[in-house]
Amino acid sequence: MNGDVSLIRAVRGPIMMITVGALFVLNNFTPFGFRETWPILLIVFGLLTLIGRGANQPPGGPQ
Amino acid sequence: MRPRSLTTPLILVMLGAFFLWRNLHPEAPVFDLIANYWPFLLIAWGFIRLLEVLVWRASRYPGVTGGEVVLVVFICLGGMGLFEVHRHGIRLTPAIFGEQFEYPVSSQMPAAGIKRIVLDTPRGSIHLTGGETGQISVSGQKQIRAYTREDADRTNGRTQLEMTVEGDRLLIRSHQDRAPAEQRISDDLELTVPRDVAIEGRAGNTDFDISDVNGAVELRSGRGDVHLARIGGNVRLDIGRSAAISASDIHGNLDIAGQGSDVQVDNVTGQVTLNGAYVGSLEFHNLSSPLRVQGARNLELRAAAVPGTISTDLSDLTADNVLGPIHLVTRSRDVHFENFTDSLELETDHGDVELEPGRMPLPRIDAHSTSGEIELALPEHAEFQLQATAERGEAVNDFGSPINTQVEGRRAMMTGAVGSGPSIRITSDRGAVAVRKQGSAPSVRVPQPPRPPAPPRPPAPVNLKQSEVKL
Repeated sequence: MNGDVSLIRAVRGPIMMITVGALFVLNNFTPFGFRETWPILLIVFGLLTLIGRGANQPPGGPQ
Repeated sequence: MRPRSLTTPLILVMLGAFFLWRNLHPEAPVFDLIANYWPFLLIAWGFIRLLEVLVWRASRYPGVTGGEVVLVVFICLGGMGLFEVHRHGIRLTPAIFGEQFEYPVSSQMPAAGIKRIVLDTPRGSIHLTGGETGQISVSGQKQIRAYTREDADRTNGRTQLEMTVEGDRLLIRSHQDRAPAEQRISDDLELTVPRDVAIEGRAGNTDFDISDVNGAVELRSGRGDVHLARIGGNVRLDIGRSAAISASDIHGNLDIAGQGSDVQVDNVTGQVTLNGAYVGSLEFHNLSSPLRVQGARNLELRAAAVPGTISTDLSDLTADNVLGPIHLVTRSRDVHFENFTDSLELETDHGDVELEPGRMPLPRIDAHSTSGEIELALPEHAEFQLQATAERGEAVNDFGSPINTQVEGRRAMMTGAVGSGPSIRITSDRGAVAVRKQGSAPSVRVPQPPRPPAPPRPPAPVNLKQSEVKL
């Protein structure tokens, strides 16, 4: 279980980095500017945190 | 032993390769390429780190370090700065290297039998004027940026302007593609042509200024500004990115597609279609036929004709004297419509709406705002059937007793009929709705009643233990 949590924490940075890069690709090559798409960063970060918390949860749920 | 990341040596290799390329080819537009493509560095970096984490999973790989986060922030700031500089047309490479040499361009030929002129000039500017002439004449200047005069002379010899007749078509080519990759070449041309020809332009980075032509005009360009005046035929523009497009006195249809900033359209007899993402101001004035705007930036507008004006930017839309049926969908703009006819369908997410139909009989109106006030100003003797709803806001009625106002909790409604006019339906999900007489401030305000106090809560049930005595 702890292995899953540390793995999710470890991939969080690279995935955020890829997301930032993808948003700037959109900014540079499509009409969707970074000032419109930046909330995707919050969504991705939030989802990764949720997945991390889900992996941290004991099988019986919170006690 | 904990594994060390591969990204630092890889970045060193990339930096070395970059400076090597830059030293061997100083004329190459390295900075311009970086300004556009730098985000792929972040994506590649992220993928490498992701692979490292997954491959070295057993070694409890730590992920992205604080130093890397700081570096990513600096790369983002620097990349955004470079992109903005590049986007505003400031060249980062060629102004520093080489020297600019100029050569005159001049050519002419009889125009007999020519019905269409095709311009093939990848870079530069074209100023074309139609007139009462039997000749097609081209004059102007060619700029070549090169390291030596000899290099520039050789390029000038290879890139002579060519005029080729193919049937009833004249092809004018500047042959800029024959210039070596390390040189930059552009042509600024002035053309005088007979008025009745059609014009077709194919360009990469060229500004067009075309006037007094009776034939059709069709321009396709990757980047550039376009100014058109007094065109007799249909106009079709497909411009990848533009800072300004203007078209006035067009007697055919006008079709504009692409991305850019400002668009100004005046006095068009045919249908006007604008399709694309334009972030500056859009101005339409005196359009005799239907207008259709489909903007990627959340603007959808259709009108039967615009004898008056419609102007909009990213925050406001103002229209005066527009013939309906009108259909407007926008996300985040304040909307002000005056003097419109037939019918108006309006949908906005954020922004206040002011409607003044102005003329009798009133048009049918259906307006909805998710968040913002809707104010309707009608002539004093207007006849209409009203259904106005403010889901969370107040209702303002200026027409007195024929309109019945009801307030239920946070919801205010006005319904009723004044005479036997068309249906007017306005709805605001968050914001007030107001119906007032034209030229007067709102006189009757129906405020929301104070909320009734919450009923007292029943006492919480007491769990009695078996040892306690029940009364």
